[in-house]
Amino acid sequence: MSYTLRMEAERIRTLRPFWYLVSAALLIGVLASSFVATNPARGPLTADKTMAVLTGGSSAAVLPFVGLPLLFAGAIAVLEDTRHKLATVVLVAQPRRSTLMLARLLVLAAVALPVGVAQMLASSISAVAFGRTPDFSLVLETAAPHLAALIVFTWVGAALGWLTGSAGATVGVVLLDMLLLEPLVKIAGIEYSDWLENNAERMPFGAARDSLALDPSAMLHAATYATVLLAGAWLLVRTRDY
Amino acid sequence: MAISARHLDKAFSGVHAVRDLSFDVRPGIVTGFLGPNGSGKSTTMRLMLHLVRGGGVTTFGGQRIDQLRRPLRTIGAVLDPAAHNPHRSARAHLRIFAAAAGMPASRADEVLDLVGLTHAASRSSGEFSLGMQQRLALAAALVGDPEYLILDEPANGLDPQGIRWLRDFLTARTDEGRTVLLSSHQLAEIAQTADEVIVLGRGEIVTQGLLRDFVDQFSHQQVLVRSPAVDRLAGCLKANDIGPFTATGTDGLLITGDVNTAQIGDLAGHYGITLHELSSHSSSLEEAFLEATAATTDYQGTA
Repeated sequence: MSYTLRMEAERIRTLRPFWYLVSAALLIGVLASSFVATNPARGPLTADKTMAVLTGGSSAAVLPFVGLPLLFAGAIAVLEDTRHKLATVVLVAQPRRSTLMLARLLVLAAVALPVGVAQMLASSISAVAFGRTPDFSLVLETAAPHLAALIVFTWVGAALGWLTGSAGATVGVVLLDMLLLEPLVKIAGIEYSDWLENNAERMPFGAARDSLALDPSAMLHAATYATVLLAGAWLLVRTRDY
Repeated sequence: MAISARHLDKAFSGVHAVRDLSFDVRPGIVTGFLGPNGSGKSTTMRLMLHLVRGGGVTTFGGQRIDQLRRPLRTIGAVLDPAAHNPHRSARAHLRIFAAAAGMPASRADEVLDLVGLTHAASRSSGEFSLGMQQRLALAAALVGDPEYLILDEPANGLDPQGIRWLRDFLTARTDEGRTVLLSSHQLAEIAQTADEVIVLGRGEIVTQGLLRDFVDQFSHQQVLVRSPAVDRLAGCLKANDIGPFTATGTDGLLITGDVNTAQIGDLAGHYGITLHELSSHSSSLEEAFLEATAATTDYQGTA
């Protein structure tokens, strides 16, 4: 496992599009946080605003600003196999596919974690710069679930990459779900089913978005979807021919 | 130690690409892996390396590839010269596999030197010619200094110097007792490099063994004779039940079958027939290959 981790760390280290997306996540998160905290005349940060600052705006917005670029970064990290036919060489280096997948997920987590910490730190500093210091106890309360959510976003991206086999399809699936499928289900629920209307928010994108607002129920749903996607990817990759 | 493949089997959508294939690849020699397009060579190599899921088992010195802790220290494979990210430098590409093999990062420069790509170490591999890509793929296979090499068409795109280099390189490897399985469509190259051959046709082994035995088995001795009295000579051959033979040019006969130049010379002398040329002609590996796989070739064009 250690050699596979070393291989994956070296591969990710030199995968430029991955780092463009990670940088985008960081930059967008800090900009969004700054935007939330720009008006000192509004007084001290409330709990909701503090959370919005710390999560890079994600807890208060429709889009998971930090999570989405990290999701695509996760997909890019695994799609090199198919896009550049690297799988044949990588799988000779590590033929145990479950080990290879696990190593990739661990490396992604090892990237997402410090990126999340850096984003929270930079977001906090930007708020302080605008004269609105976040409550330190809230920082500690928010940090663990926010960082866990970011790791899950990269893992879901990896799972979608494995399942769809292309960056275009991964983006397509996310946009289709986010912009079409879930809004349609919600609209349908308004007219036809109270149960559907109440649970539309618990579909994958809604759950992922609300998990960034640190809603425990949404986090549970998001974790369940992520587990299902990862299990599907595992079954597919184990049996795929290269 | 040998590579041992047993009962390899793979079907795509119900069609067998490889059917119950068993063979050994001996150490210390180059074994050529031959077969027409679609005969299952690449699928077999991928089955051996667990890249394709199917039946059977392949061991490298007694161990399956998934039992090896650091497979690149044991096995090196070239399956696709395009298997690299064109935006990554050659050195960065090789460092990935050096890490997997538990080798220091400096190993990347060593193998680049070995394959003659030192000058291009910092260049993006997307700028490489096909020949340079082949060398890069070979460098990746050599990173772990492996005992076993599985090479699928490694000479494709190499210039004559490159082919010569590859041949010398493989010979040097086998001289060290290493094991090489080499697939190639360049039969002249196989003829000069391989000691043994495994010939596939429609996913099954047509023949396997020593290269010279293969050529002997699937070749016909031919005698070319030219004479100003070619019609008389043809009559004499028929009368003595020698042949079959075919006319070649206006004054020549190409005689096949169990015949040699001495027999024809003696016959012509006996009947007082003047000869202008008398030569024997042995089949090449290409002719033996075409003969051996004639019944199993799926894709044939018309001239």
